[in-house]
Amino acid sequence: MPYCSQCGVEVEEYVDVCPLCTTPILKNNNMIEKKSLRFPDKPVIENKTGVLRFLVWEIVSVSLLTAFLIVVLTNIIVNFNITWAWYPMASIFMVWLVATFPLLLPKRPLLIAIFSVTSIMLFLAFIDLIDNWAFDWYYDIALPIAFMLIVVTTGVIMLCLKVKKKGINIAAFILFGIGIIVLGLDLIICFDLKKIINLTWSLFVIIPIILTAIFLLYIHYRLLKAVDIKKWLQL
Amino acid sequence: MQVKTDQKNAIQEWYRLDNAATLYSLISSSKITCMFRIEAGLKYPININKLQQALDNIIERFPYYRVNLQPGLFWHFWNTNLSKPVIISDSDYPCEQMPITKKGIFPFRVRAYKNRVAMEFHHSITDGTGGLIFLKALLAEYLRLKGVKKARFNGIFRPDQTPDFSEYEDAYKKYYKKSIPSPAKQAKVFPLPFKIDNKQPFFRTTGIIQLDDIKSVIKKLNVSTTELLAAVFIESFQDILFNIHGTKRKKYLKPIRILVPINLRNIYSAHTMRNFSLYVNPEIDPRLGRYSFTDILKEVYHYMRVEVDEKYINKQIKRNVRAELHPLLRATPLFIKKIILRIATNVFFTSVNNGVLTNLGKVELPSILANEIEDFQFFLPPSRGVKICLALSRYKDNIYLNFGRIYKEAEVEKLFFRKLVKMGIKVKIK
Repeated sequence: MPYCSQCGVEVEEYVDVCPLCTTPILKNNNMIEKKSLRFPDKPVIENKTGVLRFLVWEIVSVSLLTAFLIVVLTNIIVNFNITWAWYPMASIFMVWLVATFPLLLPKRPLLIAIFSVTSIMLFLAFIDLIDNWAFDWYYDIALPIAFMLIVVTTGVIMLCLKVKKKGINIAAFILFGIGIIVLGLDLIICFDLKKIINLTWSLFVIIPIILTAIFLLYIHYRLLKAVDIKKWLQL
Repeated sequence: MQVKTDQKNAIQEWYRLDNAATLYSLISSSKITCMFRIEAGLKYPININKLQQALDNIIERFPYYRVNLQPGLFWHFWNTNLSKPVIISDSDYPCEQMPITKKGIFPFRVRAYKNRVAMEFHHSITDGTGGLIFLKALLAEYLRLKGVKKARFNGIFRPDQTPDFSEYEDAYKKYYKKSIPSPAKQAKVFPLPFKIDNKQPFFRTTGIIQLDDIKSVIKKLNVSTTELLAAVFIESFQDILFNIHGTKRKKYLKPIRILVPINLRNIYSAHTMRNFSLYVNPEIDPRLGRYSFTDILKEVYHYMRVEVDEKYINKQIKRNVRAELHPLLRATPLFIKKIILRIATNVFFTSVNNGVLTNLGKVELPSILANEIEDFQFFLPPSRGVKICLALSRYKDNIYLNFGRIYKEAEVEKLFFRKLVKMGIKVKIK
């Protein structure tokens, strides 16, 4: 029987290092090399997440398809044509796409983000086109707002992932993000209506948001340094 | 307590949880599974059909285990589970979380693989003593079906016996004395300077020592096996503490305390098959200076002799049962109780011990059965509450020491086994 030269304990013939101190075990040539399985390597609680996720997708799809058909048929019965139903049809289809990506492509956040953003952009373009088959507000309002939302959301997510100590600083980052979005909305809408760059209502929203965010950051980086809440609560 | 007496005509009955079960049922989670495992290695591969038949037969003898945990408005309760427990394959993931309140789930699992039979119990149904009696009865029935001639053995439950009323009782409430004081609160312990490995639920190390080797040591020192191993366990923690250098050690300088569960059936002459065990907590205080092994052994020896006594245990029973009977707690809905107790467990319980050392004791079997069974092992999975567990069992000429830890570092086991080797006790690591 081989033994560990450091610990002095006997070990199984198939082990290469001591299970206690990882010291390499010296072996004779006739010693067994392979471990015979003591247990079948199978947990009792099976991972049913994949099956459940597909079931959820199926239920969502059937529910939305039902709503889609109701809308289409109602429009056809009442107006003998598809008129107003384009709007709810497009909305339902967009909701289905946005729900499908995370449910069928789990653990692929980048793909989910790309597909979801593309779907929303196409949806907005389609909605703009429906009434007169021309872009009225898509390039002036929808596209800049969507671009701003993507940039700010990505920035906030990156910041949240990158920061080492997570806590209420995450809430502060989200508030900063909301502040930037509010500011951008005000600027984009004001420019579209009056063709001037001016801040109007957004100041009343931004000031309390920014102050609250600064307060949260202060709490996080100054006060919580002394008391580790997570450790204290053993979360 | 409602008692089902007619085994053949099983009726849907319910009964209350005992005091310990109440706590375990409320705090049970993926981080604190409240499970324990007793396993036996047989000489020959298991015949699963025969084992299933044996389980179907023997479960009739244990109606108090043939139950399912159900949530009530204020407390959980046991409901008779008329379905049959099914043998499942053993796994490299012992003592996984049990979805204990799921409909139809038994509070135990019977697992088998090759020549090994294991029973994993949720602690809310019974303790190690009850679990061992069940496993022994199951193995005896299995071997009977396999052709072992003798059908009856002294001290082993048989399917045709009628359970005694005393087996159902909540012994904590029976021995609860309202007027005595509760034990004093305990200080926080030295936190081990290791990181918890979140990727793996826990790590297991099994050490086997020869009974003769340890006998000669305990005879020389005039202590019991539990006392000797508890002292070695505590000294291992002390070594880790004093291996921290410089001013950093000051931060860690706190008492070292381990939990040693005591089977109260021996103290109170109880025969309950439900939970009836409590902990004693031998400790040293390194703030007073470094202890030699002789000092630690002396502390443990005297502590155990003083504390493992009806009077002192009564204080613990008083504290635990009084908490359960408190009108405010009784009037709190179950879901709120769960939240409060889980937070309280995380905040208070995780820092009052360094580890647990539990001794199943000597596993005795009639020789005709012992010839068929090669080893008996006991395992307690570590959790956020008890981060290092050492479970002992003695069978034939061996003592099996099963370590479970949630840390990646095997420092405690390493120091522990090296100390045993230094004492002249041969250790084989599995």
